[in-house]
Amino acid sequence: MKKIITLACFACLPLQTFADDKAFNILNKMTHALTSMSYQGKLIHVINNEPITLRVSHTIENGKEVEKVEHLHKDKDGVPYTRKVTNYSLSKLPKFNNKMKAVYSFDLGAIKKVANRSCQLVIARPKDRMRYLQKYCVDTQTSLLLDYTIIDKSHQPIERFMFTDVEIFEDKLDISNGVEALTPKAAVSIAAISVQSQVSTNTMATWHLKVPPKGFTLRKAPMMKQQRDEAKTEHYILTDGLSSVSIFISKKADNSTESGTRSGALNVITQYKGAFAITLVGEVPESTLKDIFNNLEHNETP
Amino acid sequence: MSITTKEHLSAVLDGEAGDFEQRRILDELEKEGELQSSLSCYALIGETLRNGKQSSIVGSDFLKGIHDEIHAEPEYHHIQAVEKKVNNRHWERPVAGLAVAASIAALAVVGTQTFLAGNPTTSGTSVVASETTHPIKTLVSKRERYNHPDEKTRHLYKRYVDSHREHATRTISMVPLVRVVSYNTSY
Repeated sequence: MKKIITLACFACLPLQTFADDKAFNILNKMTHALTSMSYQGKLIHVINNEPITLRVSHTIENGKEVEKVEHLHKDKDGVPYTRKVTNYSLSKLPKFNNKMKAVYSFDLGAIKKVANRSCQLVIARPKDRMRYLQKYCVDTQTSLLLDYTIIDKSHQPIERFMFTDVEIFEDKLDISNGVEALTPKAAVSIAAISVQSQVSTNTMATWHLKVPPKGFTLRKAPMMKQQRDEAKTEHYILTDGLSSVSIFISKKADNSTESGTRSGALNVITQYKGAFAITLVGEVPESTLKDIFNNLEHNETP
Repeated sequence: MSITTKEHLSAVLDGEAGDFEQRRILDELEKEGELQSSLSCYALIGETLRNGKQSSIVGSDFLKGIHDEIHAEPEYHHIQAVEKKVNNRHWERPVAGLAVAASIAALAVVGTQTFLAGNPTTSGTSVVASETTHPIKTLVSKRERYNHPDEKTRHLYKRYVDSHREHATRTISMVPLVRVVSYNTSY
């Protein structure tokens, strides 16, 4: 009996790998669709159990992405009005790479209906408790992302957005002038990455991690521009490709206290190490921020 | 209520659960009031998301009605009788029969929700949690408690979050500005 079960398990392995690859491919098609397609619609973003209604429009004009996001409000008399949102983007998702498979497994879920369209559920399931589980529901016809949920370690959905209606334009090639039109944008992206890498290598890191969390890589970001009365702040970024943590390090100010806050998936904590105030910001569980803090060490520390 | 149970409940609502999980959740729903409240809350949130603007008010009475219906099902009693015989040997239960009961319950949940959402008498109702619907519990009490950041620190946090978003652009960027500036939940 045991032999049969073992054989059955082995027989299932290629199927699992196939499903994993299929899920992974769907996610990569999704990131491409979000940047290359023209679409508009209304979505609800639930954060801290509060729904926010947004209207999103994404078009390709002269080979460039034009993304407009508006927050739909109602005033006290119930009259609707809109406010432009600048820091919200659906088109800046990461490209999924094989390195992520070390810390996430990518599974296929059920077919769901979102905004009257069929979508395939794909789950990025963390292999440890250092990061959040993420669910994507991807349109089966166009690969557009229709529904997205971040779920914490206790299996609670902490942030979610879902299109309630969406219009996807068939004439995306006409608008974007096809692949050629997208090429300049791709070139810009690559240039931006190479500049960023240069900054990373040319700036001396004064802090390091004794034991970096699995799957995360550390790099140094450019120094933050100082404002009046603000201490010089170093900025490091840890990322596993899907989730990221920023570490801000400055001299501890007088009369300051350790503090922390969170909103949806975003956690922020400030703690002290010697004469330094260390603030960690990231879309990871608070325990991960604590773990990173504990592993952070100044290069001069013996 | 265990974490696994909540995970299964979420999976059932997302259509990811298999027959076996659906059956387990049905069993748990019968026993646990907290799980019933969670189901009400999840269903309400899901319905709000699907409808966009409005949702019907769903309370524990709604769940009670479903349970009464399930109890009234002859197959349910049959299943219970079989369960008693096989005691805790779950894997030997007649899965097919249980799957039917689970499917009936799932259809009842989805069907009733859809009916209520589409009912003209309920449309236009604002999203209000009923008295019997409990909000999803947060784990704040289990977290380490931090001081609430003062105004100066909040300003600094905003700058840090902006910088985080600017330089960590290869990560999730679906974080809206509204999230970034709304520090309404302190540890």
